[in-house]
Amino acid sequence: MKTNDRHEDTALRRVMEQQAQQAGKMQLPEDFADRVMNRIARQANGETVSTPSPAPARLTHLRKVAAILIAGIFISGLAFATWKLSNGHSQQTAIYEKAAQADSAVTFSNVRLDSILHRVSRHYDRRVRFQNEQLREWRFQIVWEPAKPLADFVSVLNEFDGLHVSDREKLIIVEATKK
Amino acid sequence: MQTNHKQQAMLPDSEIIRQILDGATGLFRLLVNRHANEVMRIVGRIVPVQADAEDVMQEAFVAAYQQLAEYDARQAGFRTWLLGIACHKALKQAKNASLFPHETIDREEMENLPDADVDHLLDDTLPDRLALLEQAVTLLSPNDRLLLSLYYHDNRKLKEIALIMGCTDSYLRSRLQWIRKYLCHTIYTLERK
Repeated sequence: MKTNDRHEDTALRRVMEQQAQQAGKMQLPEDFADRVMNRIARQANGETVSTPSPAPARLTHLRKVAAILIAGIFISGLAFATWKLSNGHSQQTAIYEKAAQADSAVTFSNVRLDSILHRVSRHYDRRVRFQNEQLREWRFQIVWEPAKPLADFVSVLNEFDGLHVSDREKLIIVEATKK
Repeated sequence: MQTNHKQQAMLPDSEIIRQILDGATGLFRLLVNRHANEVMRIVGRIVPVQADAEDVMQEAFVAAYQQLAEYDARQAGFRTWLLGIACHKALKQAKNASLFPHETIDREEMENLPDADVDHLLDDTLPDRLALLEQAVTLLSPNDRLLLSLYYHDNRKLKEIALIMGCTDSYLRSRLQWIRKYLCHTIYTLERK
């Protein structure tokens, strides 16, 4: 029997509906989006995030924002941080960003400072200037809460010895301080 | 900031994709959240084990991210394009896992089945016949089951299914006819046993 150029096939339709209903019981984990974003980040092999097959003209721009992985997340709370200075470029530790929950704080684990600040600066519409290029390679274990003002994150960064970060006229300036 | 977040959530897929390609890569999360359940609904029909289905889903979204610049909105909606990637991966997984048995059939006998018999049999909702039909469906390849599922359960048009499955709608039209006859032939065979 055909209706609108489509076979009615009542029995077959019923069987397919039963099968689809069984499959429909599968539930994705709540943090599925986090897992996907982390997997994309891990595939980035190093401090830059893999980009969606960019056209050559876009490449430079995309590198500038390569650290941006997870969309703005908006839950308040206190930031905490520990830090780790790595052996610089001799290690190729991949970026591993983890958001504990969707829309919560973002954890940077052993991520280069320039990658962290690229991402953070994008969120707050700032540019970044490193007065000392070596500081780019410092790696941090740090939690960033995008819902908080930039000043909060800057003050957390300034807790670390040897580093001074300031936010002036839409520009995040990173300097080394004497020990 | 909250307003900005809400505004982003309301952006159409095409605008989100444009911004991702312009460097706002974190916005891909919006696309994942927006489409994951629908993709899972289809992938789950092909890969029945939850953990495997999740793996396929992750692979599909990562692949979609990496190929995002190749997406052409004039050809298909983003979800349809995404389903194409996911179904391709799910079908590959299903075949690798040999989730479907292979049956030999008498092709000549099958081809000669009258259309009226096929129509009648596939409309027959008596419990015994339904049970046989269910059994027959399990003997189909994952590709064919997916086609039936998208066509009969989702009521999608063959043109859209063709985009998802990466073939032409004319092929699917003839494939549907073949599947219908195959199912009837299998039911008759099972009844004879």
